[in-house]
Amino acid sequence: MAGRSESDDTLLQRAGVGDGEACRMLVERHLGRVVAFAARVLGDATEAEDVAQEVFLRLWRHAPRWRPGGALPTTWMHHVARNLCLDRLARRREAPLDAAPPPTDPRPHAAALLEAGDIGRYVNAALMQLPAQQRVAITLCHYQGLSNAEAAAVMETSVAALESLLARGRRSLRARLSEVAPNLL
Amino acid sequence: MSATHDETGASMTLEQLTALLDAYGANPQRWPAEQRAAALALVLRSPEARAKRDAAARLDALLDSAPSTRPSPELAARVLATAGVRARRVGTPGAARQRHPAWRYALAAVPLAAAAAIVLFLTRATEPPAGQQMAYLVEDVGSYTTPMDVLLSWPGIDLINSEPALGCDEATLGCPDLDLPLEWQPRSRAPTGRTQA
Repeated sequence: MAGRSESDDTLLQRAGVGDGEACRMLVERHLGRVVAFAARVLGDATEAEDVAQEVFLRLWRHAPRWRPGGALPTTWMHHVARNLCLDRLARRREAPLDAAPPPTDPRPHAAALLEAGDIGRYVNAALMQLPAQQRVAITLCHYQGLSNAEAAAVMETSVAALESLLARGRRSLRARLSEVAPNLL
Repeated sequence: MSATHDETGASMTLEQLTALLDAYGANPQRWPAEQRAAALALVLRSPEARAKRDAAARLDALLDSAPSTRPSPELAARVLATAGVRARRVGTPGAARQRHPAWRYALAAVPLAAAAAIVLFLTRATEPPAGQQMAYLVEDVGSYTTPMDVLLSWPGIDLINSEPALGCDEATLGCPDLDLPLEWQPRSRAPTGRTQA
């Protein structure tokens, strides 16, 4: 029976030779994080689950070739999830206008949300108003807890560029949130 | 702007701290390790730095209030199915060991034992007396269908697909994992280079 302390690298190697228990442990460890990441980037729980399923399908396919000491499995999974999310966001932009989702500007609904004490939903809506790359950067560093080097690797950019995305994103969020909840900032 | 030095001699100005807070927020755990000590030293010494740190903390708190999406209960099973793995039942630690209790193996062996007994009985029933055994061996018995042939040819029985139903669908029990896709076969591909993110 596998121990909880087994590294992701080891589990991936075991999964690569068809070890079902290793697959289960990888899912237990990472499925929630992948779903949470994709949901924040896409703003849609159903699409986030589709992305997570695709991430793990690719992980299973890649597992027989996994070599320890390379990219961290968490970095690899976030990288794949980020690419899948950006693909979906690009397809949304290409979709005909009549098929596009309604505008998601949260400001008209801010008062109701605040009145209901649901500032969190407003924050999520404000996050969705950010450019995708800024949203990905904030999600990776603030919500997913990746280091700046890991987040930069996921986004295929430099740490300096990542910091610029983070700073611009947080400034935009502060400005939006200040409009509706100045007493909270 | 004067810089504040930490115990290692590294220094940080208020502008640098502001840039750090703008990017990473107020939690030192999110700050780059190489800047953490100098930033903390500045926060300790400078009221202005603390005010900026507190403002960043308020934005962090708002971000933390945004609810996170959790996977649906069915998702884990769907994900495991893509690997050919059956999901463990929720709330039953160790269920993998208990999923195939001994009585199920015994139950699965009953039809096999019955079939073997029938074959043995019919074979002995058609066996000639001892003195005629050599003649029996060279005799043309023609086309003969055993009960096992009948079982194997039964349209509802596929020995390959029904193998897990005999109690052997668990890779950890040393059984063949017939559900895995082809690319899952161990060592089916030559190793390639290091994994890249």
